[in-house]
Amino acid sequence: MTKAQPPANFEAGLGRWLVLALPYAWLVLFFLAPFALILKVSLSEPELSQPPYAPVFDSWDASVIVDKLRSLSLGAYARLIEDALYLRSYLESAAMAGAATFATLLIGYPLALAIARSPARWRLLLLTLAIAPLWTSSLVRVYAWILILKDEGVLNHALIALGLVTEPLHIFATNWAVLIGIVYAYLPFMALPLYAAIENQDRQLAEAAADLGAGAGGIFWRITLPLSLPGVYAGALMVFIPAVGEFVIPDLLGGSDTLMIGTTLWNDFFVNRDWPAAAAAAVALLALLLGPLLFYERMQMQAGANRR
Amino acid sequence: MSSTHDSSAPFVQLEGVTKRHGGVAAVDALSLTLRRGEFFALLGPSGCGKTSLLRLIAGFETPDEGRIFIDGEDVTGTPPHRRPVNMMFQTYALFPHMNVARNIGFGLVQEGIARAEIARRVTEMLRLVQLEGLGERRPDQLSGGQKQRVALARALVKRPKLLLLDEPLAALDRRLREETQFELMHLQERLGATFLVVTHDQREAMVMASRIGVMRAGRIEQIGAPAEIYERPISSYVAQFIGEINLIEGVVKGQSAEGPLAEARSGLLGVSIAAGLIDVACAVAHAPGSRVAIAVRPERIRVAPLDRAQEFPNVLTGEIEESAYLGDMTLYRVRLAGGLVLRAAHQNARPGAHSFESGDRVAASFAPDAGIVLPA
Amino acid sequence: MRIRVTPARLIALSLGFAFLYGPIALVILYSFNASRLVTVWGGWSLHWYGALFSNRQLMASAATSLEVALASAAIATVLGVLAALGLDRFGRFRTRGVFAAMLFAPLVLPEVIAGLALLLLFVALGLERGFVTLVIAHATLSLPFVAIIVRARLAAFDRSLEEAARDLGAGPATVFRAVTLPLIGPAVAAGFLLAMTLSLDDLIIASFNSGPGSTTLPMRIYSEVRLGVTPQINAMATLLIAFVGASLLLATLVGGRLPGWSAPSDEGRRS
Repeated sequence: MTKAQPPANFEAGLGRWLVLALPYAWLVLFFLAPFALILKVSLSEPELSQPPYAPVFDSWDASVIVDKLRSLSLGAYARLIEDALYLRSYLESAAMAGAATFATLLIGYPLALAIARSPARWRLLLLTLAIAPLWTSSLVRVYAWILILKDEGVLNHALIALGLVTEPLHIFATNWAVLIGIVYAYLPFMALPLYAAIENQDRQLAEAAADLGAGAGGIFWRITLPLSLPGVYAGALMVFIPAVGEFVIPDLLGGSDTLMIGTTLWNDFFVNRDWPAAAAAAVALLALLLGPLLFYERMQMQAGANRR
Repeated sequence: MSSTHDSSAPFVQLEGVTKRHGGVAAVDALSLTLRRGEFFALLGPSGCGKTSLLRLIAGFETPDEGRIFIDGEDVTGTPPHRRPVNMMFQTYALFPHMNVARNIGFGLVQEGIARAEIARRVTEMLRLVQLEGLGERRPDQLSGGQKQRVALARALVKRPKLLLLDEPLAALDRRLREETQFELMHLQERLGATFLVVTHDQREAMVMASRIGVMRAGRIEQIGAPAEIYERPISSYVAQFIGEINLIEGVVKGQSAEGPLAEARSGLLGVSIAAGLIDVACAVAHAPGSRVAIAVRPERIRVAPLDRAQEFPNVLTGEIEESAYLGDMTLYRVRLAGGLVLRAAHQNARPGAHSFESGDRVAASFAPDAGIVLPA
Repeated sequence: MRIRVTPARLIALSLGFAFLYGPIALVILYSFNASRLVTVWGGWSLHWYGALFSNRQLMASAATSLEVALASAAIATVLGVLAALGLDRFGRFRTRGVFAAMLFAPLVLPEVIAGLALLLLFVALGLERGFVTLVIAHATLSLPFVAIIVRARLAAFDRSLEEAARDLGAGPATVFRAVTLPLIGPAVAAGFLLAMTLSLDDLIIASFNSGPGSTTLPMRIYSEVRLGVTPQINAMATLLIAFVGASLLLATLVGGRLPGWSAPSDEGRRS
């Protein structure tokens, strides 16, 4: 008698099922499945045939799977660890992304603060201007820096014309150029959450601090900055994560000694055609991002707990 | 710096202070003097400029014109953190990332006071506002009443000469608000500091303050002790803002040099209103034919059966439109001939006292000295 | 603390915006440079624009990019709206966590990984790389952005509006068409625009997932930039900037605000 309860409104139940099923199926097919595949390919051996890997599981026969499991290849991962190139590109990616995140924070904070504390009728316009570059082609924005930083570029022309240097500065094709490029490309990503965190603050808190004797510096270090930390974390995450895996900027602005995991993966795939190695690099890159993501998640949880 | 502690000496002085926000004067050529150690309330509806005035005194805004003196010192251009003034904010403005003790100690840290001393004074303040043992709590773990006490303690810990309170009780529920009104009064007496409170609640102002300033459109309309403001409002604005009042418009008929009330030293003003002719005690000369408004508090209006009308002066006959029994009193709305509706409050001092129902014909009356003559 | 423009804030604003817009301004300036040498000023000229329009390859990739952007944005918008509805209106269902994780993970996923992962899938499925795979890839990766924007709007609007429509006898489908959709309309449009922008801008995912006949504009520009800076690229870049600027201006004029976020709250009221 008491079967599964039919939905109160069958029509609504069916519609509901359809609404969910479509995006759900799409994501399982085009997001979840590719991830499983990356794992699988990273565990296989490179082969020069097309596609360039030898499949690990090509049959669902149990005995075959057991056999295959025994012979699962950790070769790609072993190369990741053994090859100094990979290790270096890991560390340099993390270091570069970290430095760029910090530099972006240093530049983005005064900008976000100035926008958040400008008269209300200007705020939206200024914020829009700060974020509008994101809508222009990212390739164009990286390309602009080639124009500026090259030995015979705009910056060196200007510096020499002003008599500040006699020899052109070699910035282009170095890690400095990559740093500048990343900071430039991701500045809006930092400015937006910072702005939100500062603008959200109850202005009376700063007034209360001034009323209790804090000067401008005291208000900033004791009130404004600590209260904007959630924005700092969010901004740092939004810069660090894409910066770690960045490909275009190191490729176009960096030099031969620039090593980043994104470029390494790209080269493994497009140049060396070693798909398992590229897949293993991708898995390892994901692992690298897990740390900051978990840290951020914990901060969010803490903020949530404090609010309660 | 003045060293006198004469309670009548001016302690805070505002001279012709004007502050405009986008062309509109929030505070308009306002002058005000506070005495040392008094509890002064600025009363007015929202938008009248009372919070702007408070912010000018605290130093969050600088006046466009005029000067501000605190304890004899010109502080017009002094930033807030250098003024001997502390403020309790309407929303309390407790720092959400600091616990209660650090919130209260914040002002002392700014002064560079030694840690042990800070801890001692924070404990002292916690005891003063009855929050012992809650120093480690965060603001979001406190009830509304507790937050209010923390905000008060934080503003008092630096022993300011002048404490500004912006709607200090607005966020509390009614019972808590009434209790806290008395606590604030006792606290002010004990500390001897000058309190300036901004409120839109006339009851609150009357309970706590020794003097009230009623504000209207950036200016102070009237200053006085609560009884003075209530009994002798100088305008219909003040009369209507403080308590309930009936305003009866009329035209002056004539004025007698000397009235029957010798002690009032006033003549009687004969005023013709729509419902008849009334006499009001009035010391100021009014030319016959000038328009005036007579203000009468509901509790000063007596409602009697028509057959007793001859016993009273200023009898206006009418019909009970509505009556509401509130226990301690009964409220009547009496519609007079000519359409005016009078509100009358009848104290139910004795059980089973006379009561009227709607539709009853009655005689409403008031003594000549119960009416206040105001400019129309 | 006080709302005014202090010198320090003015400096922060000037330097910040000079940094953000200086490079873009330079590209535009040099696109009108008559000199063949990219960084030497040789007077004003429209020469490179002419050269650009006669570059058939470049024009063909621009058309491809536009087609891919339109198709993928349309798919992403439909799926994104459905996903947002599912998350915001259906309360708890058993695998809601999995669904939400799948939906929002692409936001923090490096493009190189996403591109590679999708490519491996297409190879495994035996799908030939080209226009279709490109559209699928871009739709998948812009879907979360649409979902976020629409969901924020769904969460903000008054649920009693929908309930009132139900109360007055409208079925779920009618409620959606007559009440929900008009109210989330601006967010859906914003999501579509953002999805298009993401697709038009993408180089990496396209490089992994496009075939011989479907070279997108960013791929073409990238290969030209790798060969060296040419004045023609300046002109191309300027046109891209002008295109985006014009659409942004249009969106602002039509919608009163830019897609993607709402106006910051005004100052608190004061008595």
